[in-house]
Amino acid sequence: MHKKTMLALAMVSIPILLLLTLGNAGAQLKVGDEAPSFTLPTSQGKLADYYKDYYGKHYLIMTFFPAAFTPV
Amino acid sequence: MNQNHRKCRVMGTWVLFPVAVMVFGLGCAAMQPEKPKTLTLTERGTVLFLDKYEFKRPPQNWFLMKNLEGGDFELGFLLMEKGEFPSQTTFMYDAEPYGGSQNLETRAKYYCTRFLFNSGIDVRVTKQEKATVGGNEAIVLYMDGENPNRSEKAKSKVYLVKKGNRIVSFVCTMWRPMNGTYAQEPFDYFETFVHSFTFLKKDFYENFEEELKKQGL
Amino acid sequence: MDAHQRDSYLYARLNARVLGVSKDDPITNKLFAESLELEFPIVSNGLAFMAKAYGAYSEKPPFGPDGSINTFGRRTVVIDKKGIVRYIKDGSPINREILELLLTLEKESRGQK
Repeated sequence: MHKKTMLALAMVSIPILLLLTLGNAGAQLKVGDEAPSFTLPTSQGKLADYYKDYYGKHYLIMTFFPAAFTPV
Repeated sequence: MNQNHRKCRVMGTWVLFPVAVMVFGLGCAAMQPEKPKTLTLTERGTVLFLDKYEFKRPPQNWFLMKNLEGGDFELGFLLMEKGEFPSQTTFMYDAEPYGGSQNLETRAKYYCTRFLFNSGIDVRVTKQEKATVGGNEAIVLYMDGENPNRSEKAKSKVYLVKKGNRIVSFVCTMWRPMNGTYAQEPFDYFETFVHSFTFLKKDFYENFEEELKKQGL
Repeated sequence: MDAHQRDSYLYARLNARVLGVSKDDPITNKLFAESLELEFPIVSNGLAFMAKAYGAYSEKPPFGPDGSINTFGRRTVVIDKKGIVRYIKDGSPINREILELLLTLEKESRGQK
């Protein structure tokens, strides 16, 4: 398969698989839990991958906000 | 980060602050006219605000506004003026003006794009100049604009002041109905407030940065 | 959001990075970041995965009855260098708390109290 297709497939299927396996785990995310890993596209034209970019290197502050261009 | 420069409507003799939309969680509703105990008179003709600031306050007909919800602006004064709504002026000390840069010019440029952006006022910058406030480098912005939909206008003066690694601000906004006349006197009291303003102790960030240094960070 | 940008010089000293998560696509997020002069990346929660996994959908489900993605709530999560969640706060972040936590984590990682 073409590399790009494989990447696209991975990007779509990994989150879906994790979504299916996690079930409702996110609703009970607690301090002390292992942070769910992710590999997702960003606004800076590259993927953000927790283990590649942050694990062992940086503390990560994740800020969830409902939508762009709304009061934040 | 956030301004409370929304005008506040007086209802009868009880000053009620409407839920004018405060983007960043600062509501007019969060502020109430505060009894003078938050302010302590000194023999120097100034007042102390808690144990944090000292300055020359405007006359007693200006209400002290204290942000009770712990928002970004901490203290300010409101004057209800004669004339149709919205005839009022507010000025305040805001430790976190809009923007993220530590560079005054860059911060000023960005600040102007956000100032009063949610108020319906079409803001234009009429003048920008350098200044010194409390011995620190500052930029002064003069802005005004109209909201034709609500037939009102506003005129503002903003000081963005360098304070260590951060930038703080002093902001004054005068509101008028479209056919109203701006006055000079409230701005004079603002000037006195700004130029008499002193910090009585180190702020959170100054203390934090010292702690980082101690830790070798 | 610009509070994180204002504190970025402190985050750098504390070895912390910021990652935004929004429901919008990468281009919209890029324009948004530019409009606020944000230097940190924003991840797109297009499949509702992130917000669901991180519990930002505490008040409503990730998908509406028509299959559209619901907006999620504001939430701040801080993760240490070992991938463990150390702080969760719903609503507007209190930046001082985050800074103090990062300093504590850094001291902890050096074996200090």
